[in-house]
Amino acid sequence: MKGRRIEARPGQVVDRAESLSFQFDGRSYTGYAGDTIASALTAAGVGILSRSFKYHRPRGLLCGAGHCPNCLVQIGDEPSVRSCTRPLEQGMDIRSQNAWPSLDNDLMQLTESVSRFLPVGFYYKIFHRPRFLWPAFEHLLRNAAGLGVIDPQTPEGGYDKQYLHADVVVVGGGPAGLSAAVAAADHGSRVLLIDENADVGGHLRFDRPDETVTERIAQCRKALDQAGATILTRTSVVGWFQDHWLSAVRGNRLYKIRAGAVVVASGAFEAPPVFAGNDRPGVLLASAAQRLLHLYGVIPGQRGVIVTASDAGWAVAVDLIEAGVDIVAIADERPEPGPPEQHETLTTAGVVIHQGYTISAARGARGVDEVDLVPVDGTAAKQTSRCDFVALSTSWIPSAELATMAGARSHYDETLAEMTLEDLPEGIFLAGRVAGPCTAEQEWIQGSAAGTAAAAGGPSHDSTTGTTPIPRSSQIVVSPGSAGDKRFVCFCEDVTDTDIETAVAEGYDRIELLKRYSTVGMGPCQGRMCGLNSIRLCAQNTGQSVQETGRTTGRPPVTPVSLGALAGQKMEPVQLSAIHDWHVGHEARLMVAGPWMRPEHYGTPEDEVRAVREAAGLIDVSPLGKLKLTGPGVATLLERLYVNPWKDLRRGRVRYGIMCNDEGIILDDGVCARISDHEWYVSTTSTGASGTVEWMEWWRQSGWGDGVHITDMTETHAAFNLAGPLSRQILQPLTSRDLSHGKFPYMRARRAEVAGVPCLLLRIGFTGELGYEIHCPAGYARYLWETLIEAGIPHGLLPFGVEAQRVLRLEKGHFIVGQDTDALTDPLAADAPWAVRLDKDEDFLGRRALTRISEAGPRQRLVGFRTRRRADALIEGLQVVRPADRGAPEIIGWISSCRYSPTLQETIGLCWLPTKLAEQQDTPFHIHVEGQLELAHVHHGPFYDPQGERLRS
Amino acid sequence: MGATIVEAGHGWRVPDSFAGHDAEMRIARRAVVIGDDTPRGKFRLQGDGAQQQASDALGIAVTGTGVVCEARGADREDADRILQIEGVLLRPDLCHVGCEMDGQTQVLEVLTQSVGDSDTTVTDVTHGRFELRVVGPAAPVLLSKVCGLDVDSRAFPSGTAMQTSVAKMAQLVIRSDLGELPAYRLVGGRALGAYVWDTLMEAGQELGVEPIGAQGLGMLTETTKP
Repeated sequence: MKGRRIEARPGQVVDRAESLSFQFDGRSYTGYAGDTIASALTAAGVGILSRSFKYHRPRGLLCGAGHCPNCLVQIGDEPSVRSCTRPLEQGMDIRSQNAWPSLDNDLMQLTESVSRFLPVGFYYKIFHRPRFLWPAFEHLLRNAAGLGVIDPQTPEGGYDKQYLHADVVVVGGGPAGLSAAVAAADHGSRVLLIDENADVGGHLRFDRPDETVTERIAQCRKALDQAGATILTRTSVVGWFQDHWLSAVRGNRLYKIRAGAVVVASGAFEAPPVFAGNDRPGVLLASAAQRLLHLYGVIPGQRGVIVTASDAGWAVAVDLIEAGVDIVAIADERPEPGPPEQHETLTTAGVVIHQGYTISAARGARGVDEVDLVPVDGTAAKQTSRCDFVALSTSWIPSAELATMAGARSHYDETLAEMTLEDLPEGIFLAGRVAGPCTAEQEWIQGSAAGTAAAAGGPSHDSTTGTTPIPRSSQIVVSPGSAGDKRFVCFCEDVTDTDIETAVAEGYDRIELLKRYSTVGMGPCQGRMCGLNSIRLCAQNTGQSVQETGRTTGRPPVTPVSLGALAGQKMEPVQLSAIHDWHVGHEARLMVAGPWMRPEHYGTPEDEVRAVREAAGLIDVSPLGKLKLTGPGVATLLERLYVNPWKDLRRGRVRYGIMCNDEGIILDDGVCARISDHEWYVSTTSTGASGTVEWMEWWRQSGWGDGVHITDMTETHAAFNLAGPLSRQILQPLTSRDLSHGKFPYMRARRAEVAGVPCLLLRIGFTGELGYEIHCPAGYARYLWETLIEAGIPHGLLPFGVEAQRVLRLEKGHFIVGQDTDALTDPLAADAPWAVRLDKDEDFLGRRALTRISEAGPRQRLVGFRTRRRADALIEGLQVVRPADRGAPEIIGWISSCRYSPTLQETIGLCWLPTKLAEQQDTPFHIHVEGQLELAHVHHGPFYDPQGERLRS
Repeated sequence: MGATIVEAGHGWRVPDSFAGHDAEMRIARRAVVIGDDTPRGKFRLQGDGAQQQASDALGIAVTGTGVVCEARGADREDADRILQIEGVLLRPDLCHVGCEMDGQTQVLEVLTQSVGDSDTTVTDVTHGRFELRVVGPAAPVLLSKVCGLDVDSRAFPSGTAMQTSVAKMAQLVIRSDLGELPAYRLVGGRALGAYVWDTLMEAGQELGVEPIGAQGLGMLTETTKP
């Protein structure tokens, strides 16, 4: 034996041929491949791994299984890493948390000296007054709270998710889980076995090595491999959701698992008893000592005391003696001695055996120097033993969180002093130590039965039925005669038994209230270490039974999950136009527009506006929604969905339409072209495409669409708007279709080949200029776009983006659905009463509401305005106000759009005003801009080309 | 990505090869590759008679929702050539028909003629849908990272199709194995093609995913034919 590292033995997982060097708080250490961080530090004699949350008490290895908070460390930029399960890696830079200036000398431990001023629920009682000091308190509390440090500059990690499916998912790879998996696989089921440890075997891995057991585990593995079963180790199942939808985490990956049935074979874990100084470094669970010993070849100390309530502690004592540890005493609270063979071994080794005793206190300067052992019945004097560690095996908690999440009811068994499960929901099967105390052989048998039942789809059951469990847990909640130091119930939040007592006395006598008030069970272990003890203490203080006290509701995640794992791979769907690469290659400044990425401009929006007004411009409007509607009932369907009339629209004609809901609120707008008697081409806003398709489809399938078929062509067709006085000159040479005004007038649709590409041309003009909307199969988009650009350059054509388009449409006074309208806007108020035909034959959505509004008149109205104020100061959304002689001005409206018009050389916009104010042209009103009132005047109709002569040229 | 782009006919320009077809095929057999097969013909038949129209016109028995029926229709211009067509019944009144790029015009003609004046609507959506191929032994694992569908052979055998979410977006997934090699077609909205491609490439990094060109895909298809 060298230091705390013993010689190599079968079953150990460390590779002594591969040394790994690492640093802990700046000091260099060496471990082996296969070590955990905590095992390597323990082997190096490091006893203090962290500081407690509230009192900053030193803490050392406790559970060794990833449950408790005692070994949380920071690795690089990753806080709160459980060092007892994280494998050691070469060159790791490990730092302690929650300690300043150092782990050994933490100044914040002074908190404990004023602990009487920090009682349970202190944050509800103090720091509130005097109120003016709150900022200072807040600063203090924020610095004191939290564990670890997150660096905002940390690069994004590589997280992802994976979906898995299985007929039978077995949670837990111990003897019960292994045999369940093999049995299910034997029945032909697709099996997924999940275990949180580095390898399957469960507690058999760190029990005393046994060749027969090792061989049995190997055979199970082989059988599962042959059956094609999937085994995931180092994976924690963190939640059960409806229909056996499980979530599990392995490193940076979140698994979403759909299971046909779930065998819960998650075992049981030890929890610490409550006694004075039970949190001192050197106090650890017996199973942690076994893990150290059998997996990593490390002993927890040189001189130990064992405290137990079952045979388990005796086995640990024997193992430690055989490893060369001086076990000075064993305290077994049972009156009867342990197993004869082990009793003899301990006697031979000179171990003092205390029957009917338990521990009442642990003392020491920086760890454990001595412990007090007391008789449980108080009939004898306490015994003090000198030691440097104490191993505890007094209480077992079934790892039953998943089963309770699934709906199983928990019941407190007074004899066993444990929670057991009842009323298992369909498809949930229990096997092994999670269902109660049992021997290893019973675990194998139970697992096989559960696996068979799960594979067969039989009723859920507890496969332990028929076996008589042997108690393994102590009936004692707080050790008798325990005094001289704090007695911790919750190690995460530093909650003591006294805190629980005080909280109950203050009226927090329901377990859910008690949890929220005292924060017991709300730390990193989520109640695993303290859950049962807090319930039992609550029961003791209220005089209720544990069963009557109940338990808190367990919710996912069972163990902490990083937010990165929940987020998974970064997926931000973005829709790109068929000519997106061209835009990027021509230095377009891109912007997000709904689900699309669109060019905002290509340099100077003002130049683009001028090009459209004076020559020509070309804009990619592919994101517009484009629907093909076919069937004899299309006109009728459109009559019902739009406020406009449609039956009178002749073939080859186009009409602008507004779509409302039944409350008369504008949903979308666009143009509809009648291609043939039974075929229509409908455009929608860019962001409203999918919603409009769903809306139309809903009404179609509800019986309004007699024989109508709706096909979303949004991505099938690219669309460009060629606009400007020279657009006809540019387009005509590329097509044999006569584009003259006489042959192809305003608001008409024509099919034509443009540069050999089959297109649909719509002569419409959102920009207010002569223009053609060119729709073509998306695969030809790049070719056609480049051809049009090439043809237009000699005429002064420029590509233009969304920003120029916004200015151009504003000059024409057109509104944009979603920008100038909101969830209360109707077309009458939006200054589009000309579109609403209340008298059309067909009933339509919104008719009744619009009739009422028409009769009463809209309260507000969307109108244009002019102002001398620079446009860049007039942010959309600014309030229109009525000045008051005293006090704040009255808000009477708001600005929905505002731009500087290079054509008109003034600032123009659209705004919502009270109807009366909006009625008169040139009525002055005020806009509230950064505390100042800016004068503006009402403008009716288009600002530019009010007669629309340019559109019809 | 350094692809060699070639003219593939019908105006399509496709990546012929990225790292050489031999290397791409090796990766396809060992890990997983992703190929862009967007030029394939894609049609939608809509209407109560869509299922019957597709079956009658193309000689494919589309019998149930989500079932792929592959048929080999004789090419009228080349009697010796076998034209592979697949049909998927997406909904009782909606069929997806896919075919090789070279057969696109012919299939559209056949469908349009067959529909005639009936109440079935035929729409060529070739330009509106991307089609990606995911091929290789690791293809199921790759898809399981972006898709909740159970893509295991027992639950989703070759010759079946499902509409589901892939990389958070609605897509049609068609399983169409190449011999022993698991292979999937992903058909979705064209504007999302680049996003889906990038997402798959990122998700497949740990699996050794590589792009495959049209040449490699074609040869892989040929060499795995029974």
